[in-house]
Order: sequence, then C-alpha cells, then structure tokens
Amino acid sequence: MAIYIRSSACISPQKTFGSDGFLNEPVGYNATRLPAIQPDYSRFIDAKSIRRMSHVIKMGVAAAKECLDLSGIEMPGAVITGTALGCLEDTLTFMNRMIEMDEQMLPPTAFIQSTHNTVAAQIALMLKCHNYNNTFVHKGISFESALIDAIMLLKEEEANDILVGGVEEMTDASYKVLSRLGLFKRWPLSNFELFNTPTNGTIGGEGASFFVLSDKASEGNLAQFNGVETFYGLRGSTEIETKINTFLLRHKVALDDIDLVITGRNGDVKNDAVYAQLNSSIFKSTSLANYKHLCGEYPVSTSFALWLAANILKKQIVPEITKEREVNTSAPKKILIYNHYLNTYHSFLLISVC
Amino acid sequence: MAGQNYITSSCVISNNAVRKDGRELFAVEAGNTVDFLTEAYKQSGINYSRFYKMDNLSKLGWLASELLLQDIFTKENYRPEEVGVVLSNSNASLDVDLRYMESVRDIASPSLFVYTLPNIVTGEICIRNGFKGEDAFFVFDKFNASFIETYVSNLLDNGNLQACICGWVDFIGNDYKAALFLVEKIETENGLPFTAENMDKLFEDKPKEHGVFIAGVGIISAIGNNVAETLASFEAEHAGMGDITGMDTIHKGELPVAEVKLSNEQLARMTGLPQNISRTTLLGLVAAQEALQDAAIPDIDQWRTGFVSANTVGGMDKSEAFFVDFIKDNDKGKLRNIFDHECGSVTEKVAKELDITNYMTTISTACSSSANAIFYAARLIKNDVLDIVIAGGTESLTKFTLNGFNTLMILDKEFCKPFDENRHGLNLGEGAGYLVLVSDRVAETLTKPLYCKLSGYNNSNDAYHQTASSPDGTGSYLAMEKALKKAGLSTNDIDYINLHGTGTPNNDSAEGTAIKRLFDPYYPPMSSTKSFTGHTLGASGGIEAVFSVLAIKHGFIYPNLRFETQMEELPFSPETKFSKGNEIDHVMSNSFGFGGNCTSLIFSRI
Repeated sequence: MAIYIRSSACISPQKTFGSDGFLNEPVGYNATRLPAIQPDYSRFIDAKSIRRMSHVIKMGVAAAKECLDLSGIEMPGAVITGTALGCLEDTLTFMNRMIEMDEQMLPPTAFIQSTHNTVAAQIALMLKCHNYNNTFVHKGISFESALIDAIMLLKEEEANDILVGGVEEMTDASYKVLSRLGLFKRWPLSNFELFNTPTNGTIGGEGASFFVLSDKASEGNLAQFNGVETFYGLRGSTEIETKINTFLLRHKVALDDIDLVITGRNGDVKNDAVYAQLNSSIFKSTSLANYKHLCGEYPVSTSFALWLAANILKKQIVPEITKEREVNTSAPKKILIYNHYLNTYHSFLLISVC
Repeated sequence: MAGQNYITSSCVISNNAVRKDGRELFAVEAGNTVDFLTEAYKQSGINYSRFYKMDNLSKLGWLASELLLQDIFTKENYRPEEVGVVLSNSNASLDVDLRYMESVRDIASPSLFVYTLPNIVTGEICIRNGFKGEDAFFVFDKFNASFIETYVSNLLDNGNLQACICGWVDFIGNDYKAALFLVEKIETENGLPFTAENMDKLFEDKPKEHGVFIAGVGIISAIGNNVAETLASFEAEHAGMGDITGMDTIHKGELPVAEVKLSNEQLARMTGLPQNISRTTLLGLVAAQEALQDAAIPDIDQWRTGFVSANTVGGMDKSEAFFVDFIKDNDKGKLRNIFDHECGSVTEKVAKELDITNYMTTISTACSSSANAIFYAARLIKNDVLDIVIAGGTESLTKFTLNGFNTLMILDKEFCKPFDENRHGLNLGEGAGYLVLVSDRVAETLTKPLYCKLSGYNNSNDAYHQTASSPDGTGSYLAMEKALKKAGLSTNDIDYINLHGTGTPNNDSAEGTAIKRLFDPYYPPMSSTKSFTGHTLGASGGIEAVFSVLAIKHGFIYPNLRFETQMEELPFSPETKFSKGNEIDHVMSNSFGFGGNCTSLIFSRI
C-alpha cells in the first residue's frame, strides 16, 4: 500500500510556518537554546483559549490546524501525537504551586492541562473529532511511535487522512535541568557555527510539526512515505550500517538510489562520532544534509526533519543552509533520514517523490 | 426459461494466502511475489512441469484454476465444448510486456514474447483441462462483477456453455490477485447463486486477521502483590483502600488511597532494582515479570519481543523530591531524582530488566493509557511487527496527582462508591498490570493453555471537554459500540463488563448513559473493580485487563463493593457479590480518561 504525506506544517525556530520561503532566510541565534518563532495564534485559536493554553499546546494546535487547512481535510481519521516531555510548563506550574502553597488552595487549570495527551485532546476538541486519538511519550522515538501507529491504521483500513505530529517545548526549568545534565554547550554560539564547534554539548530546541498521512494519491501530496523503523541501544557504526542496509533492502531501495541523507548531527562531538563514521563509509558518495543547527536538539526533532525532507521533494530544492557537503542534489527523488537521540534511540525514515 | 446458475466453487489468491470458498486453504511465507507463486505451487501438491515455463500472470491464473476445480469439478460431466473460461484484469499482460521490453535491449526473448497477450492465461487453463468452450479476456479498471455476471449468464442461459470459469486474474510487479469462480447449473451444498453481489463478496474477502492471544498475566495493586493474592482479596471482598502512609502530604488521614502494601525497599528487594528509583518503575517490573513468567514461553529469544507500557506522570514521585530543592535554587536538587521524569524512562528501565530491546514504546492518554497500550501491542502483532508483546501500565501514587485530582474536587473522603446514586468521587490507587500478548505462531509453541484472545478494541474521543465527560457519554458509547463491531459481537454476547466506574458523579453518569443507550434492554453483569483497587490512572486499563482475562479463565464476576442505591437515571445496577464458575465467554473492559480519550477492549474465550 502506498502512503502519502498529503500536507505538513511546522512551527520551529526558523521561518517555517505560513511562509512562502523555504529556509532561504535562515534565522541566526547566538545562544545555546533556540526558541520557536510563535505565529499569530489568533488565526487558529480563540482569544480566551490563547490566554489559557501553554506554549506547547498553542504550537501543537496551530500547527495541526494549519496542516489540516493545507491538506483540505476537515476531519482527520485519527489524531496521533508524539511528545517525550509533554506539557512541561503546566506540569511545573502546578508542581511549583503545590510546593510553594503547601498543597493548599491550588487552581486546577495547570493540572488539567498537564497530561501528555492535552495537545491531541485539544485538537479533537476543536475539531469535534471523535475518531482515534493517541499520544506516544517515549523519549527520542515518541514521534516515530506515532508514525508507526498511523501507518498501521492506514494498512488496517481503520482510518484515512491521519493527522500525526511531534510537539515539544523547552521551558526555562527543562533547559536548566538538561544543562546541568550536560546536554548543551556551555557558552552561547552562532547556530550556523554549530558544526564548526566540535565540543561537548549541543543546542536545545523545540517545535511542532504535523502531517496528514493518506493512502490516496493526489496532485498536492508532498511525498510518498515509504517506511519508518526504530531501534534501541548503544550501537557501533558497523551495526548501524547493517541496520541501514537491511532497512533499505526491506523497502527495495539500493543505497545508490538515495539522493539525500539527512542526519541528526547536533554539534556534540560524542553524538556526532557515529555520523562521521557513516559519512566516510556507506554515505561516502551520498549527498548529505543536516537540520539541528536550525531547530536545535529535542526528542521529536525528526518531525522537523520529516517536514524538511517532504518539502525538499515537493519543491525539488535542497536549501543551501541544510547542505553538509555538495555532491549532487539537483533532482532529489529519495531521502533517508537517520537520527539518534543520545545514542540510545535510533530511527530511520524513508520518503520519496510522488 | 433459463434455470438458476450457481457459484459452485471459488478460489481467491492474494496477500500471500490462498482461500477456497472463503476459507483459507494455506498461507505462504515468501519474500516476494515470484517466490510466493513457486511456493504456493509446491504447497498445492499439484505436479505440472509446464508451470515453470509460464509467465507470472499465467502461473497465478492457472494455479487458481487448479485449486478452484480440485475436489469439486467432474470434467466427465461435460463435453469439452460446454466449458468456457472468461477472465478479466486491469493490467492486461503489462508485467510480462515490461520484462519483454527489457529483454529486447539485448536479444528478444521468444519465450517471453508468447506471453505478451493477457488471454494466454485462459489458454493455459484450457490446455490443461482440454476445455474447448468460449474463452474471453476483458480489461477493466477494477473487478466488474456485474459485467461478468451478465456476460457469463448469457453464455449459460442460451446453452452455449454448461459450466464456466470466470473472474479476475491480475499480476503487476509486486501486486497480484486472482479471484476465480466456477459457475455451473447445478445447486450444490456450498453453492451460492451466481450474482454480482456474491462475486464481489468473495472477491473482497479480506485475509483472515491473525489472532492475538493472551498467554500470561501479572499484577500488583492495593489488593495483592501478585495474581494469587489478588484473587484471594476478591473472594474475601476485601478492598485495598486505607489511610495514606507512603507520601508526606497534608492530605494524610483526610483522603483515603489504595496503596500497594510494600515499601520501596521491599519492592527493590523483590526485583533486584535499587530502591532509590521511581516506585512506578518498581511496581511495573514486579507485574511485568510475573506476566512473563506466567506465560512461560519456551525459547523466547527466537521471537521478536516488545514492551508497550503506559503511565501518566513517569517518575513523578522522584521529580517531586527534586523540585522541592530546585525551585529554591536552580542549581540544587539531586539530578538522579529527575532522570526518570519522562514517562518513557520508566518503560525503558523495565524493558531493560526484561531484556527487551526489539521494540519498546510508551503511551500516555491519561486514564485510558494502558488500555491503549494493550491494543497498540495487539496491532503490532497483527501487522507482523512483533511476535510477543508485554503490554499494560504502571502508576504509583504521587502528591502531584493526589493534589491535582483534589483541585478538581473529585476525590471521595470515604471509600468510593462507583455507580451508586450517592457517590462522591474516586479514591486514587497505585499498581501495575500487564498481559503477555502472542501471535498465533507463538501460541502454537506453548505448552501452557492460553487464557483467551483479544477480540475487539476501539479508541474514540468524546471531544466534549478536557476533563469532563459529555452527558450522553458519546465517547464511551462509540468506543464500546465499535469494539463490539471489531469483535463481530453484539451486546447480547457480552457476559460481563468491567466498568471504568471511577465513582465520580460525572463519569458514572456518562458511562451509565452510554451503556443504557447501547445495551438496553439487556444488561450483562457489570462492576467497577476500582471499588477494590482505587483508580490507578495509567495502570488501570492494564490492571482491569488482567481482571477481565481472569474472569474468562475462572468464570469470575467481581463485586462492586459498597453499592447501596441504584442511580436514578439508570435502569440497572452493578453486581454486589463475588461469584465464580460462571459461563463467561466475552468480557468488555472500559477505560476512559481526561482529554476525552475513551477505549474499550473485548476479551473472548478461545
């Protein structure tokens, strides 16, 4: 069964949302944390809800609505989200109040909105969508788990035109905690220099990317979605090579047929070691692109990568800012995305032109 | 006047399986379609060396015709001129045309050239059987049953033919399908009237879905640390609620909760895990280990095993300790207390202990989380992603959830009274419940009897309010109705409902109304086991799935404790006494949550 990406919308630290350009005016930051550029939410959400909703809910709902608008689908057959940390802002708001007010006189709103399924639930609520609704919360493969669910639903013919997305917010507290855990670089740097600063740590990011997946061919479709696979555990580059080869074989694609590989390089020396090894072995003569200097590192960053890849295939342009090295990216037909999160969760995504 | 014509046999080959008269004859494991044809030919036991010379389309059509005629068709009943072959498809001979084109680049292959006509397949069937009646081949966009009916009926009715093989045979690249029908003028035991509708039905006959079976169960909750203790508590009608002992909270002595009666230290000793990690992880491992041991799967390493778990707040019990220091000074707070803040971290730790690395994921849809985990797991098996999945959920009591539910004013200060007119809210509980789900292939290798199968499931959304349920229980109604449909059952088939039944005025009213709308006038026995375990949030779907599975195995119906007064708006009331030895074939288990997430599961006796 052929599965298509019918539409996509992405809120990120770049001008990716409601913009005609395609990363042709990349936004530079001198920071260790890239905040998402917030759109005019009043186009998507009523004023009362805007005040009540946290950052991640607003991003998620707006990206979902824009994605549906672009697809021309009014009622999705299912709504599925992936988010590793969910509604952090509300969780911490409630937590702080609970501690500070010694468990007394607490307002319920932050608690109500703290559950991980809030974004998917708010989408259902706004659309009055009674269909299948699910939320995956598994670290660096939260978005991939959501994709696997969507693909199974399509194959089972249980639903069509499935809205699936990855959402994640970076709050001050989570930024601080992750910094203390050593995830980020210790001094601010230009995000454009991320890959030229081979030190420990990366830059944090956030965003919301949604997709409508459909089994119907249609002129407006961005790309064909061929497959997704995840695996777990610390792996050496030879093992990953084997996994890539098996994955491609399963989808009846040769490595030579891949026009572009988008990898999850994030500027952290340890993190990037495996990509460097692959780039000099199986990806030796492949065109390469990167994306985390644009959106930062976060658990569902592959949703940004998928948005990027789908648009590359539709527009037949590889944005200059994403190119890791020039080989030949003139008429890309097939793109492989390989990302790993903290070298524990790995994923492959394969898409091709319609 | 023309007599009635009958489909006396049908053979459908698609999706790596061969079906005759709607029943699967055999399935074939094959990497690609060409291998499939060869394997299917071998499995058919038919010996016809000419098969190897044919193109793919002919192989497919010929094989389907052989199986179609096998054991049912008596050639001697007809003269050769009385039997015809009328076939159709959408790609003509394109598959071989492309191959021929490819061969022309070097040296044109005559053996390919002869197959560049789609009607060769009808020829192959006629040669094999010596048929000399009318043969024809049509090309349609898709299977056109009414055309075939008209065309073939004409040939039969005007006496040109006495029997006809007709239908569809298509082969292109990796897509193929054959659906052949033998039409005769005789009525047979299994014969169907020769109509477009019947042909369409047989044509569409979806491959039989693979079953998903429950091979093991594991549980820990306020009423027991394993299955045996749990059942003893049920039999004694002994609830698990009491005063808070495990948390340092101002609500101690004021709000009852259903705690697991083991300290973190004791749980750590049982599991071999360190005691300073999240209680959610400790509880999860106890129940998941019990489930896996219960399933006793021999040579588990040969299978693709996964872990799909649910929880709602991850290692929040440890995060709470972290944030007490962190909010005073952002450089304070022990980092190891925040490691497992993520829901996924709890799953990962348990999976590691179980040695599961093939696939793991975490679902969090509030109080329906682990019911969704169970049916996502079942679908991973049906979609051939995994062979075995341990699925369910785990949750420990935390100040965060206790205070959260308290702000919503839905916690009962007494022990909860689900589905009672005078109910005042829920009691929070903790625990974990897991099932071991296996594919039919794994099931065949087990020596222990299976518990039951997961026959139906559905996830629907109420889309009414972030926390409250709609007055008519739209989401619950849809979840139950569609789960029944998925299982191919009607409301009369359900022998017991394990209610979501939290004990809040809103939930029980919405759920009860939905049951009334769907089940009226027949109501099966039902009860809320949350009257024993409290509401274990992300674990409740898993825990109650374990209860449902045990209900089928032992014929249990669990009581709804403390029930006194029937709800005015409902014409039914829950069971109040524990009973065993009941004839229970199908159990429905409901799990509804914040965000309008409603899920129903149906377990059925095998």
